[in-house]
Amino acid sequence: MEDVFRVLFDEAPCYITIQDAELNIIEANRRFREDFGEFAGRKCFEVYKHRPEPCLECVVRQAFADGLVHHTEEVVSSRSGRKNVLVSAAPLPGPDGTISRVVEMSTDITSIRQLQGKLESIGLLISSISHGIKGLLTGLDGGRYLVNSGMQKNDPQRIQRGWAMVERNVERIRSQVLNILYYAKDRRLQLEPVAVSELLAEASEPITAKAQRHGIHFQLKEATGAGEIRADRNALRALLVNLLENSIDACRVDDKKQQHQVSLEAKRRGDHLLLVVSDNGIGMDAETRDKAFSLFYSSKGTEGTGLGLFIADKIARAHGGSIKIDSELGRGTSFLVKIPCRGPGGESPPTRR
Amino acid sequence: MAEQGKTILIVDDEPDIREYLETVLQDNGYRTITAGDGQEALDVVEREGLPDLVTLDVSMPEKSGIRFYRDMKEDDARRRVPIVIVTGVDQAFERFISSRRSVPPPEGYLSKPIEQDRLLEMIARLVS
Repeated sequence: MEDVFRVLFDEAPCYITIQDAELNIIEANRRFREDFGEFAGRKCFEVYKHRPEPCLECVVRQAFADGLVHHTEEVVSSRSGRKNVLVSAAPLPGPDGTISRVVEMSTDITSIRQLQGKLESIGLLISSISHGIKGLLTGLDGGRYLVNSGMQKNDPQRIQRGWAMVERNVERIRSQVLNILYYAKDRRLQLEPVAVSELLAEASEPITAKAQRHGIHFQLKEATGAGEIRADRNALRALLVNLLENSIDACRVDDKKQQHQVSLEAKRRGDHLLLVVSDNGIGMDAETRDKAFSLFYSSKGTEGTGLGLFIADKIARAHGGSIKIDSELGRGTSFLVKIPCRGPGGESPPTRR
Repeated sequence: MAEQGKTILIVDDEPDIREYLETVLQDNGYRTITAGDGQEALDVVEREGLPDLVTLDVSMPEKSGIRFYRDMKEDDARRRVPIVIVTGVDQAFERFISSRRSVPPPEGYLSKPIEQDRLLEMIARLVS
């Protein structure tokens, strides 16, 4: 290849490969090699998709078949993570006019897609927040009415009920605002030693009442030996409350079982803490499971904001941990949260500011 | 102002809002029954007979509010019970109403947060 073409090939702002009819990569540019590694002897889908079979609709094959240029959008796995790419496949005719190779060019549009996703998210966030706030305001109005009319009627019991209503709704506003804050900016973790049993008790508090109201049996299992971890107490509490609320909702909408239960458990697993939130609610199908942690994905109709699980996942990851979903439609769901005991950085010393 | 002894069925999945509406309406001379979802509301209607009016939150999980509305409005005897929709935002309900010509629109529509005076005025007018 002439030098000028070599430079163009290597430095063009996209990944370029040349493939044969079996989708073997014969040549690849520098950008491709940097982000996807060695290609020698490997097929396109093995490198881009990490799987043993080609895409259902393969533009390279289409270009081989009709000699035209084809385009598509794909998600591929690079060394630095998933990327959205715009793919073009252009046939390279040989001297006799038959097509023996196809040039495949993929432009990384991950940041554009992310930006687009964020813009959509903002719109959704606003409508979801305003819906939530309307409900909470009505609850506050209710509390205010009960307190005021209770004072007029000199009815202490009514005042008490009203005040409890005010407190409940203030608490809910607080947790919703916290969720929004977690969403809106990357809040710095406030790491401190946290006693696991205390954490579990705090997270259970708002849930116990909610479970009771819906006739769901809530069990906080003994966290013996779970000890202490280095974590952000408020963030982990928010994570657990989000998962627990999800479990309660999964039970509420399930009419197939006589008795519903939700449980919370903590176990020490080597240098990790394993938190398990389980329910025997409606469970998730594969699609719901896959999308569960996506922002604004909710299977709960107008009820869900689509923030809860997204934020739970974000908090787990900020701690250097993860959440796994074990779920079956009709049977129930378990969330398995793994958090490193010594904080996100392993054995990082206490931060002083 | 209120018609003494008229019965209002309050359907809302949020206990605080049920308690709020219950208290306000009782303070104004109404009898109240409550239900936490559409199915429970149907059971109440079947068990205790028709109320004089229903306040219905339609943004409840599983669309049970919309289902209850349809069951009420598609039944000849139940159709005459006025229904006041009380909701946060629910385009699903508006879509449902506009998609079905056979289902009449609700007699009243209030959005949360509820203006108490408007609610009372609306109910008084609809039950008289």
